[in-house]
Amino acid sequence: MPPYTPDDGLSTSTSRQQRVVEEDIQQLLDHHLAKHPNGFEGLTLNREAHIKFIEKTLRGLGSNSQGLDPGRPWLFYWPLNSLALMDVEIADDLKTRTVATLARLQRPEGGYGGPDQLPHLAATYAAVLSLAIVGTPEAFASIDRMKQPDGSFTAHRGGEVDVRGSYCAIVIATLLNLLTPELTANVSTFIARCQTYEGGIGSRPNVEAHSGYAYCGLATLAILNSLDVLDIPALLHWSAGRQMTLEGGFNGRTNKLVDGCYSFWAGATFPLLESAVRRSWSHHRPLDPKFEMFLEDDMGYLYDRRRLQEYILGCCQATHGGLRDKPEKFPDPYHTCYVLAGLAASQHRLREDAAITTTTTENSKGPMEADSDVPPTLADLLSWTVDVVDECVLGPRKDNLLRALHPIYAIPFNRVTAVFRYFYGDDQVQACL
Amino acid sequence: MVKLEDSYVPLSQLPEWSDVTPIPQDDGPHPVAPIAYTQEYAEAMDYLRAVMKARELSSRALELTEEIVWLNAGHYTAWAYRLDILKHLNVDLYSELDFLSEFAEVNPKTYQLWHHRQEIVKLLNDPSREHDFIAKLLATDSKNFHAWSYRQWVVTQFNQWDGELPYVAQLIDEDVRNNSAWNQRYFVLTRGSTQDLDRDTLRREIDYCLEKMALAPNNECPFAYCRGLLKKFGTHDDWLLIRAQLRALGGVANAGDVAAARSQYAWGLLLDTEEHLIREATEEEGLTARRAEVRRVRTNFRV
Repeated sequence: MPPYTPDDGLSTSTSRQQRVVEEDIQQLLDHHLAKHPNGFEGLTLNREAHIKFIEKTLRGLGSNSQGLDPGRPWLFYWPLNSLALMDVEIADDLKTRTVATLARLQRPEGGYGGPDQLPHLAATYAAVLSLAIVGTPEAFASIDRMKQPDGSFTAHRGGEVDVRGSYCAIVIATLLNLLTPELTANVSTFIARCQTYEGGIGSRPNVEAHSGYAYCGLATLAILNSLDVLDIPALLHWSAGRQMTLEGGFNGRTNKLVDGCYSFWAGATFPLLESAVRRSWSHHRPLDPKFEMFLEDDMGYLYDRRRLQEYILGCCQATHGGLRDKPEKFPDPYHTCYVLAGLAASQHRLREDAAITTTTTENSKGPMEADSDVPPTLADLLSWTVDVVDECVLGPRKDNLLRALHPIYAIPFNRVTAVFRYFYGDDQVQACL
Repeated sequence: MVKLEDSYVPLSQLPEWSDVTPIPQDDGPHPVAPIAYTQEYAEAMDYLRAVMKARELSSRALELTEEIVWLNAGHYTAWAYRLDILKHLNVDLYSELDFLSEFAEVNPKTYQLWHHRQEIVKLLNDPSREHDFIAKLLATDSKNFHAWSYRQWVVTQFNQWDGELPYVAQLIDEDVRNNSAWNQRYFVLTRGSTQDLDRDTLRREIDYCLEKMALAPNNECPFAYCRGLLKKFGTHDDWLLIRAQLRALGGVANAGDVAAARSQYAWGLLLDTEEHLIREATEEEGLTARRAEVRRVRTNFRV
């Protein structure tokens, strides 16, 4: 095991908190190593317990979850996505009831919100993804596409503006075939302004770089074919730094503590970054020699997948089901979803198809010339492919391997294709595959 | 002020609400993931539905929104409605700031709290209480993302740049690993990315970084900060300076056994420095020799 992070003989609040977590995790990982003859290869995903935990939340939540009332659609997305990633068949009855319950959270003025509350971009994102996971014609038909939020990207009427809003709006519009030049105009310029001196992306210009916002910004730019507005080498450097040396999991900001949910927010940026590097390669721009090694490597990505999986399987599984932030914390639906999503993303090689990439780069823009954002073609949107590489899966595949997760839409790949078929037309989709 | 510890009296028993018919929530016959609300919250929401339907912008509706956000801090609809009422009633907005200060002590990480405070301060056009308000919360959690983001808004909106640098320096002195404070330092010096640094300021900042690097070489903050400044504002001489200093810092070039030599951040910045110098270099300056230097540094970096 790597040594504890040195405090260089200068103890501060940050180094003390970090040390407590490191000792906790070291102890747990040592315990696993002592217990399993195969070492970390013996770590398994406790599916049955997690499924039970999730099914319990679908039946109902206690008053301690009252704070989630305004974000009620998330209470569908988190558990349904967790089940879909574990390849659990969603019962017809649950599908029907999900469509019916979400229909009541749809607002007459467009979008979704908490019960009888204003429509909210994040709630709408969660509702649309939930219905995509359900995947029935009734689910798709229940979405009133004509009344989606406009391009202002405040979270709700009179609400706050940040990169999260950009991501939710663009994802919703992309899945539902609602992208227009008006909607995409200036989106990438705003995101580019949120990249900080560290290389990561903050919620707004000048705000500290944060994994959650970096993911949202990068995924949005990936949809819009505008990754080149960012300083990609700087973002790559910062992103690689989010993986913790001892813990194996990711943190969200420099010198903050590890948290299982960043397995997704930070982990899922790597396939997007790889795509950005490939694009710049096919652009015949000088390629930074640092990247050659990682593009040729079969494992791909500039993070250690196996160490992340050690953290997830060894430290994030609660004994009685559900997944968590770190060992001292309780599991919840949010962490269950995003820890599993991070695990799924780390188990597969996700990449944009090279042929498609070449055609798009002919039209692509130079750096910082993105005010004329144009909506991407369907072929662009369908250009992601999946491989399972054995070395990417820690432990027994039959227990641990999850369904491949789409790095942009944060639901399994097969669900994404079904949504596109419904909203763009079977023929159109077929022509691109 | 609603006190949570008070025994709960249902709104339906209060004479001032007797004219309102509450509207219950309708989740449908077999909802998925229903929440077992507390009686207090469920009833308050039933009344909120009723007053919102009637667009009632009254002081009792204002009190009701306060009760709801105490019970559910992230209730963005109640917050938005509260703002509508405040604008309509023309009440003393300074008392709203008092409420928000008290609320923030309990719920410092609620998006809506910060957004609401920003809207109120805009209406008052008076930032005089904000510095202390934010500083108090940062004293409890010096990395509160919302607090820093809001602080940037206040500083920019009301042109309060003076005094910000000493404040940030103080927080860095308290915890040199507080990256939020370093981010704020960059924000202040570049006036929110709108301003270049003059030569003296840049050199002063490089010196500041070097001092903090030496203090705790395994702390990423000053290295990232220094790299950011150099990439944006550095001249050839500045890069040469940092190369020399990094090599001197604990004998990095000789891979000695002092703490600095084990610092991945020192090696990383040195590598970037060499690569930068290569990109600048011409053949006359010995490009081949520089390339060899990069290979050497990179080999050490991997080890």
